[in-house]
Amino acid sequence: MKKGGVKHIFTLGLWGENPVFRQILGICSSLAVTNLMFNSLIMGLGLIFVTAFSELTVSLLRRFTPKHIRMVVQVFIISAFVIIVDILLKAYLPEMHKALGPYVGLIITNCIIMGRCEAFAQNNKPVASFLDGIANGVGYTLVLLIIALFRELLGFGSIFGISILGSWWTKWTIMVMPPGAFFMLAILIWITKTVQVDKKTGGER
Amino acid sequence: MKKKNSFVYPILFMMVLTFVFISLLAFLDDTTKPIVEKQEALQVQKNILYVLGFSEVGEGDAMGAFYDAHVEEKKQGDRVYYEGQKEGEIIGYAFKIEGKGLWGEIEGYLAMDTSLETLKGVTFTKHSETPGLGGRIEEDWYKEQFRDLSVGEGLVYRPKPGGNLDAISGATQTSEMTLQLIRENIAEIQKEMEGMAK
Repeated sequence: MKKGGVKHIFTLGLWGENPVFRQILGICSSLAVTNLMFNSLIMGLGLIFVTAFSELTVSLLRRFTPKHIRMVVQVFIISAFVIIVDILLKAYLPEMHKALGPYVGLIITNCIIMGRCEAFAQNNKPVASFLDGIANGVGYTLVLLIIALFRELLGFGSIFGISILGSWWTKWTIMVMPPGAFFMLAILIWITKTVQVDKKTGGER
Repeated sequence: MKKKNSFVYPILFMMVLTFVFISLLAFLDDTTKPIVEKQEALQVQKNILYVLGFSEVGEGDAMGAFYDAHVEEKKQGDRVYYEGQKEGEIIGYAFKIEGKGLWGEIEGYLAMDTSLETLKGVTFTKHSETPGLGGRIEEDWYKEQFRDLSVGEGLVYRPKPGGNLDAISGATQTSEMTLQLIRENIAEIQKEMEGMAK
């Protein structure tokens, strides 16, 4: 696998250096929005858009940005794209905008975006940065969807709002409350770490 | 590059960047403004029609036309209200309501019949309650409980004696505060609209 190639970027973003369970970035929102799969999906799509375009812009400007104000510049670029998402949702998908409420604005505080701008886009070409943004966004979205799948299924007995388990199911209210998110995220990190360590060392710890 | 560390360059850089992005945002905001305003107006109309108990009102422009035919905006003192008409008869009045929720302001609409003694419907348009818990006040099962509910006997959650409503499990505080909000708004409406009741 060529280092810096498309496949390499995606493998790292989705698995090897997955922002959530490898770098433990952006977990505030992974905890906050994952009690419904639909919310998680939209949050993920918003993040993919913002990360990709922020990284692209940061990368394009990287030669002109004075080093000592680069973080201000990054925050500025990120907030501009978040506002764009907000405006577009409000105008063209008002129902979705209503369903997400404050979450859209919260994309701004997601550490993944700034983390990737700083770690990747600052030192790489625009196209690679754009792809890195998509890869990390997708990696984040997948984790959110996995956590939300369990939380919504156990907590509401449904998936994407469609009732699956029926009325006999006793809803685990704790799963839709904040503690449920902590449990699920911890379990997920535990599993992925175990698998990744096994692979790296051939089973020895 | 040396000049990048100069005093002036970073300031100029930020100014140019700010200008570019603000222009972009301002342009987007301006071009989408009419769409957003129209969507918001339609949303208000939809909520008013909902609390007045109209069903099958259509979508988009069709709903706007339905609204114009069936609802009239009126004023009593400072209070704006919406008169719902069906086949030439007044079926009730809709009002904007607001008050405190657990985490922030809750806004919505409620409608009462012409005697101002029976709720026709309630809906919530803005709130900061926890999604999946208190946020469930916007779900149909919760709102539909208030349909054609006589307020004379009071609004009480089961299993208290005389209970006629179900609270949201896992959101006791929000449920209580929502009910309190509805009670207070009804009392206020009845006072302000005195003499209107038939």
